[in-house]
This record gives sequence, structure tokens and C-alpha cells, in this order.
Amino acid sequence: MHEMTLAVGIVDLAVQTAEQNKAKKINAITVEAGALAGILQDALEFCFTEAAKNTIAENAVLKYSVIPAQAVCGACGHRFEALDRMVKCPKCSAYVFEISGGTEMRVKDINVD
Amino acid sequence: MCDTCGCGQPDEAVTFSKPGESGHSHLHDHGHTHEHDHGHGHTHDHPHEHSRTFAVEQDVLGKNNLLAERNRGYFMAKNITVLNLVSSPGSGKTTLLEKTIHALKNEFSISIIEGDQQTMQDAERIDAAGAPVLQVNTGNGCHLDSSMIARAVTELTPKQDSLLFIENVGNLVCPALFDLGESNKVVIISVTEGDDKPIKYPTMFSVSDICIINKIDLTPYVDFNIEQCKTYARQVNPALQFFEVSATKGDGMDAWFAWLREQNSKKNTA
Repeated sequence: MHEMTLAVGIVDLAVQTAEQNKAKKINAITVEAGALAGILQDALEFCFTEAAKNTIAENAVLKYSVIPAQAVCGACGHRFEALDRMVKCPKCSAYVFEISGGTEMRVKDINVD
Repeated sequence: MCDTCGCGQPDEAVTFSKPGESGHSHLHDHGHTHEHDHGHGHTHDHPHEHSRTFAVEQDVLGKNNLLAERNRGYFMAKNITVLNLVSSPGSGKTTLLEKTIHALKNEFSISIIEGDQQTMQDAERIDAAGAPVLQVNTGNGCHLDSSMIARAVTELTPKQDSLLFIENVGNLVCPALFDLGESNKVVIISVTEGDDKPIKYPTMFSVSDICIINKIDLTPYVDFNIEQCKTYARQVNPALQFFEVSATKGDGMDAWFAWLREQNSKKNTA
């Protein structure tokens, strides 16, 4: 449900940067979403289309990449990347107790004309 | 379309009102404008010929997080403990607050920010319980954000060394992502819900510090297994601290009150 807030935020940041650089049109926006940021990619893309209407970001391609969280197993200390909060350690099957990162939602760059 | 939750309805104004006052509305201050003066009157035969790439490297929720930290600084300076109450609709947040106000209002100052999509119902209940309250109606919005809290606090003016509760919009998903500047998030689950909610909605349980299991007087009549619920919740967040209560009957409430007294007596520091 909050994807619309995020989509509007993405368009704002992209348009702001484009205008600062005297661009006329945004071709593509690269976003990085943390795996644990609670974002539904389909919903975000749908909202983005709406949010970009009547802006210079209209028809821009949204390039989406997922940033995994860093997990450290509470039982055996194994370090690995997690895409989910409910993960078991791939080594010892214990539930992982230390997770960091993975909650960000960043606009990385824009491609403009 | 509503900018806040994308529900397809027109964006309604967010309103801030106190019981007994007529509501006055303030539009979202998201500070975004969409310029329409970039005409499409010219066409590029080779649209990507001169394309350039610029780094943005900014957090989409940056504005919310920045304002949340500003709220947090204000609360720290005034030594106000702020608890952000989050749950599904109907878990008993308002009843818990009513009972808490009755029990503690003579010991220290308690004020409340009520978040709901519509109506003054909750604010009127809190007002009747005897605490200063401000109702924030989010219109179609599914969560409170830090700018709403900044605005609400200027109207509510909570006292030095006081306790401020924020009753978030009943929604176990979106409010997890919006820092308001609170000291702690308190997630409430009632035994009339499923005991597997912590693993179905892990984000909310992982960002909360406290979990209140409410309506425990109804446990004999429902399938909810309290220990199973706690086990699931600990898988998501092993540091979660639990209170098992019946806000209506009073079971377990003394432990909750004792924890609140402890929060209020200790200095609110970074």
C-alpha cells in the first residue's frame, strides 16, 4: 500500500536531479530496493507509471535491483546474504538472529536526454 | 490517485482536530510539485543520442527519516517518551490506552496522537478518559508519517517529562516503514487473531521493541497459542519484550504500567 508514496518519492528525486542538470526527458531511473524493505515490485511499477504521468519522467523505464540483507547466524556465526526475514542458516539451519541492511530504498541514477 | 497509498481514490486532506473543536484541514506537505511546462512540442529523431546519466544516490524515504530525526531531537530535549502503537485494526489499542490513562494520569502527564483514516471516535474516547488528544485523520492514507507528527505535536504541545502515545492507523504493513521519531514501536496482537501473524507480517514484529498480546481473557475460547505466537515472534526478533494482558479485564496490566513508569523515570537519551 505504501508503494505509491515510494513511487512519488522516486519521481521527485529523479525530476529534481534531471532539472538541476537541465535535462528535458528522463529515459530511465535505476532504483535499489532492500530485500526487507517490504516493497512489491509489481505494485511499485504500477504506481510509478501513475506517479510519472505529466512529468519529464513519463514513460521512463524503472530499472529495479534488489539489495540483499547481511545476515550472521546466531548459532554458528556463518555470514550470508538474506532475501527474507524468516531465514534459516544455510549451514546449521538455526534461525538467524542478526540481520543488517536490506531496508533501503534508493534512487541510484537517472539516464536523461 | 491518492499519493499516500495509491488506493485509486482522490487524495483527501489530512485533518488535525481536537475533541470539541471543528476540524480544520491541512493538505499533505509532501513538498512535491510536478512541473508541466516541459512541452512535448519537439521530437527527437534520435532520442537517446545525447543521453547522459547522473548519479542521484538518495534515499526515497529520506525526507521522512530526516523529519523523524528532527521530531526525535525535540522529544529528547523535552524528555518525552514516545511510543508508537501499531497493530491490525481491532486489536484493542484504544482500550489499552484508555485503561493506561485511567491508571497513570495522576502520576505523570500523558498525551495521545490518534491516527485513523476517518472519524473522531477514538479521540472522543481518549478525551473522556481524561488525556489531551489530537486526532489525525489521514483521509485515505494507510499510515502516519513524520510530517503529520511534527504538525500534531505543535498543536498538542506535550509537557516536559511526559509520555506521548501515537496510535497509528490500524495496519500491520505500511506503518512499519515510516519512522515517526518515536522512542519505541509497540506492536499489539490480540488472541482473536492468528498466532502466526508474526511470521506472516515479519517486518512489523522485527522493527518493534515491545509486543503486547491482548485479550488474553478470551484464550479459552479461541485457538490462539500464546507460546507459539511468542516463538514465531522471537524468530523474527529475538529481542522482543512481551506483555500478556487483557486491557478490558485488567489481567497483566500491572506489568505494563510498571514498564511505563520505568520509561518515564529514565532520561530519554540517544
